[in-house]
Amino acid sequence: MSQTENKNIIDGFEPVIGLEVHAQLVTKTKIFCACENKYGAEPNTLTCPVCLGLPGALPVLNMQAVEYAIKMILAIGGEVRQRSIFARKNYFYPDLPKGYQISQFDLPIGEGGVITISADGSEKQLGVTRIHLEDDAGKSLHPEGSGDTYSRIDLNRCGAPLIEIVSEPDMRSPQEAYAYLSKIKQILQYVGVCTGDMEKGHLRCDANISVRPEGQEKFGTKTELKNMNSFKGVERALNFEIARQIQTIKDGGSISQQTLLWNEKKQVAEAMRSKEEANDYRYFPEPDLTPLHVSESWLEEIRESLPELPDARSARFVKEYGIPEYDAGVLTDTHTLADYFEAVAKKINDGKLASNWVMGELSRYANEGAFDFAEPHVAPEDISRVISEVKALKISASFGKQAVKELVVEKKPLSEIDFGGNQMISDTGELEALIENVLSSNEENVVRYLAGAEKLIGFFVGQLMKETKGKADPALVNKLLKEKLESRRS
Amino acid sequence: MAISTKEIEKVALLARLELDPKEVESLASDMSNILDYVETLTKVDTEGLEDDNASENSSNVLREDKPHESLSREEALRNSPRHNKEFFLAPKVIG
Repeated sequence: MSQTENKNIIDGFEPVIGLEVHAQLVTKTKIFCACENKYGAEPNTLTCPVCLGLPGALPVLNMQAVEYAIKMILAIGGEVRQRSIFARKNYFYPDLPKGYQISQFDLPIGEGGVITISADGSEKQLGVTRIHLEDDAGKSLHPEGSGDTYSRIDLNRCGAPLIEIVSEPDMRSPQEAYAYLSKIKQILQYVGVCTGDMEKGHLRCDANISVRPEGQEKFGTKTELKNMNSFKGVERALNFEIARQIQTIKDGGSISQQTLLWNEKKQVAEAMRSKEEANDYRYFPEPDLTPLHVSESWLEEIRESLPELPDARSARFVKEYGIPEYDAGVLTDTHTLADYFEAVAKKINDGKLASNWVMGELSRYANEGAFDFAEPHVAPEDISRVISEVKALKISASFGKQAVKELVVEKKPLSEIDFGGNQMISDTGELEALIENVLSSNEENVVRYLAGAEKLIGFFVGQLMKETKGKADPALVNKLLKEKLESRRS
Repeated sequence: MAISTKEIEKVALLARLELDPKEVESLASDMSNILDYVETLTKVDTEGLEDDNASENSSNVLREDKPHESLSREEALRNSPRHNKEFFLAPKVIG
């Protein structure tokens, strides 16, 4: 066989995956009423006749929600419809008081678009079918073990603005689905329309999944997976369902089209009861809302407000700051990290050095939870001052790191960092005198060194650093030490 | 335009309505009559008229993203058949 090996084939089957991502928009108010769009308020304190679905109440569309939707559509290169309409999607559920969701059906606000991911070291383009606006449902709570025969309903979230981003069935492995989701989240955060917080439900994902025999063009019968609440959960659920479908087919069975709920605790996908699944939404145009028109000038205005997107920014970092592609990728992971790096790089006028300190020291503290690039408690200017001192060889790198620690962890103000008292000792005469002291009080090790134990150079450096409280210029110390030791051979 | 008893049963299921066979029969006949009546509209000559509706040409009806005061929880829950002063209560759907 001459064709290249397809790594996504499992037991002779290829998975085909499409994702539906719901992103809650960060508007101040709900999509069709002016109740606050806020997480974590006391239950049922953010409602009004519109979002409660009371008779006679009329929805009015939130302009900011429309702008956010358009931003995301433009960010992924999609088309914004000049005229889109809203539709009612009818179903019964206790957390949906209207008895229907206001969504968009045949004329969504956005169509098309591309998400680029890297898979196996090469780039892959994944298609987006559509992006539409809709309102969220409330939250049902089913307290476990409480013996309650009732579900508790909180309607604070009911009416929160969502965009649904529907992908083409372009993904061929759970890893690709994971990469797609990460990219969607990154772009949403860059354009500032969604927090991307999956734990708080600000980002939710359903998956359509089927398998087909290797080489077959036609898609197999798909199932829909719901109820995953993390990116890893999506990946695990897909792995489970792919294995289940392949096993079913190999055992001579067939896949029935159905919706499965991922059970994270049991790590299995379970079929919904058929009654929950009356999948006939009887869409019809929402009579309470006028069609939405997006003018060319409005579109232009929003296009101009778009920030630089992650891929473009990463490419620019490589070019402008001369840093490796890998570093640029890491530094543009979130726009807050990228902003921070860029502020430091500009201030010290050295991209590579800025990258080392931001990716090294600061990212380490960020991972430990001691620092947050989104809400930095140490300004890039302060970090830049430390790096500048190191760069000018006024202080040692190790004292620089100590200074960063004091700023970040001990939350000292910059004015309390003792740069003066920690001036790096790079005076040759002063160091030579210190070296002489160290050598003469460690004669035994000097003999061993000269006999071939060259590793002991580290010991001498260590002694000297101890003497100088880490302030000696390490490069110079190394050079002078070797010279002094060599001079003792004669 | 006849509507079948099967269609009535399906719509009833989707609307979570329990109908006895007699009601299904009479609803099928009633709804067929309603649809026939509305069907009359198709006789209107719309040749040359633009596909449009009243709201179509009106400009966008949009709202600024400014919060209003929401109902108090007491008010919000007031019309609910069952609540616990904090949440609406509904028959358990899952598990």
